[in-house]
Order: sequence, then C-alpha cells, then structure tokens
Amino acid sequence: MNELGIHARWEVINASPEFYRVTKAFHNGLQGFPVTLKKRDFNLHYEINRENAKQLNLEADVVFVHDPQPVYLPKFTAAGKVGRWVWRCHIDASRPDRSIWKHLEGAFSDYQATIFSMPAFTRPLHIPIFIVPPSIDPLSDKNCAIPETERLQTLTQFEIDPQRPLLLQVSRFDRFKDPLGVIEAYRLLKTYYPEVQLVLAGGPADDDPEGAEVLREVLDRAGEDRDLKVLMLPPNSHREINALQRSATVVLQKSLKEGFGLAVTEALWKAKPVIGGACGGITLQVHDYHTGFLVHSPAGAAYRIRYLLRYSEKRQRMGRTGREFVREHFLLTRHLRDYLTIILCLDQPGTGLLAL
Amino acid sequence: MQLLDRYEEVVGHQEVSRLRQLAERVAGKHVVHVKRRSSAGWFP
Repeated sequence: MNELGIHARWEVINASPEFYRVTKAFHNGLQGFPVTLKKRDFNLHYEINRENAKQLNLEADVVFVHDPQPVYLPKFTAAGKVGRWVWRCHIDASRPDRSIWKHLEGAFSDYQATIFSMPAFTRPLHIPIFIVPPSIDPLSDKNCAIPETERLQTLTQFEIDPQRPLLLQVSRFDRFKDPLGVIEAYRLLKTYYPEVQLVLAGGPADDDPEGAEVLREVLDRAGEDRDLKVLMLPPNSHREINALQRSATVVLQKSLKEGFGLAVTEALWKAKPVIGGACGGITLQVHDYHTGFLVHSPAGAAYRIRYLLRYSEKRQRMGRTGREFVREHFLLTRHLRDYLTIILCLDQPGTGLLAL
Repeated sequence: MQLLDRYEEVVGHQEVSRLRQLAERVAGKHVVHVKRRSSAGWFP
C-alpha cells in the first residue's frame, strides 16, 4: 500500500494470556462450538480493548480491525480520531454460539462495514458486508520459486525419496484436518501403489491444547512405516514447506471443517492438483477435474489419488490450471485491489452485500 | 527494483496498472490494520 501512496501500518494489541484464553473461546464459539464464558470473561475483553484504545496509535482515515480480539476498540476510541472502522472476520461465523455472537454484536454499531472471506461465512448484519477472499504472497519464502538443489536437499534432509510418488498434507495436527483420514487413504492406496510415500507436515501450536493429543494419535497410527513421515517443523520452516509442496505428486487437504484453506492455495500455486475435503474455502478452490477433487471420505480420497497417479498428463494439466486459477483469484495483488476498492467505497457508502 | 515491479513479473502489467489507477483515487489516505499478537505457528 505504501508504494502506492497510501500510508498504511500495523498496530498489534497488547494483552495477557488470560485474554487470549477468553478470545480462543470466542474463536471456537464463532465457528459454532458451544462455549461457556462468564461475565468476568466478557468484562476482561472490554477492559483490554479499553486499554489498547488508549495505547495504540489509531489515528487514520480507515482502520481495519482483524478478528474478534480487538473488535471493541471503536467503542473506546475518541470520536473523530478514525474516519471509518471496518471489521475483518477471517473465520466462518455463519453459525456462531449465541452468547458469543451477542457479545460481539454489541461492537458492530460503531463500524461502517465488515469483511468476510466468503459469502457462506457471513451473518446478517445492519452494515455493509464485503467479500474478500484471502491470498498468498507469490514472492514470500513460502511461495517463491526455489532452486532445484534446495528442493532436493530438503527431501534428503527428511529422508524422502525424490524418485517415488509423494503425497503431502500440510496442516496443524487438528481433528478437523483429519490426519487420520489421510493415513487411512494412504493405506488403502498402498495396496495398489506400494512405492507411494506420505508426508504429514505440521508444527507446534501453543494456543491449541488438543494438538499434542492428536499428534500422539497420528504417530501411533503411523507406526513403523518408513514411507510415512510425520514432520514437526519449527514456525519459520517456510522454505522447507515450499520445497515439500513443490516435490509432492498430489497434495491433500482432507479437512472436515476449514476456514479458507490457504494451504490449498499454496499447493495450487505450485501447480499441484489438490484433493480436498468438501468444506469451507476448499470448495472455492478445488474444482473436480480442473484443479483437483473434492472428497468426503478416506476411500474417496484414495480413489482420486489413484486416478491422479495413474494419469500423469491429466495430473499435470490440472496442476497448470490450478496455478492459473490462483494467479487470477488468490494472489496478494488481487487482495490489495479489493482493499483499495473498499477504501474507495467507504467514501461512497452503499448498502447490502457487495462481492468484489 | 520496486516491489510492485516484482509483482508485475508474476501477475502481469494489466493487474499492476489497475492497482495503480485505483490507488490514485485513494492516495494520501492513512490506513491502520489492528490485529492480535502473531500466532506461534504458520500452519493453516
């Protein structure tokens, strides 16, 4: 934005671990999981927002507030300091826990607009809703072109055979990512393609207490299979993930519930067909026989992987289609264009749902 | 080389040109993004 003559900057709220425990419940509640919070939890949310409204430099023509944590900043910011407030929701809030939504709804009267990632993630609101899918940065370490030597070194590092087909899923160890379903699909496939390898790449998430438990289950299910690698990578492993995605024959994102699914976008950008669970933003990106296949079960995933392994020409064509699809719809430049359009629209307010 | 020039190599001249045209209409505005602290992980 700055290079385009817009003075843009980020502010990060300052809060205690207790605040993040409460807002993690908001996160779960917004996505429809029943949560129980007390009045003091909601009060903590107000108080942290009040403190941050005093501390942060919010003077601007437009302030984009991301996710529920800082949503009450407008309530505690002096009038006239901010021209327009926009709330950016990054998750599926279509079927929220009622108590959480009621609490958050109180903040919306101070906003002029909201942004959701896709229409299915929205709720009826009295302010305009913009639809802006997320994007990937093609120049970042995670998505840039890498030297072939680096790609091969990464495979050597993780003891992956570059000559044999590789299936890959990159995701947190979370039940909704269905890593056990991926293993099941791999095992079904192994009967027909004994040479196939599977990598499940994830990392530690300190805000996800269930992660360790799921990882234990995954390791247990993986057993002693040398062709099945479960990789726990540190948070800065962008280039390693890049290399793994570029080395994959087929990428899986067999989620049972998903936000947008940027791992799918990343894989498509690397010209890999994706087999994805038919949920959330995966359905916007994976189109049967064009960019991959949507599946509903491990058996379905195995069936589609088998198809892609058998027909290499179709696999490559789908990969190329996926890359062009991402180039057109899900790169950072499109995202920036959407934001510029919103800033422009806020000077000419309209109503209703506007898809950019 | 400016960052936008590098993006132009990826997305093409037309896309960056559209960005520049749009930006001209909102140039000079001050925009702030507010977020929580960075999460520990990078896994979607």
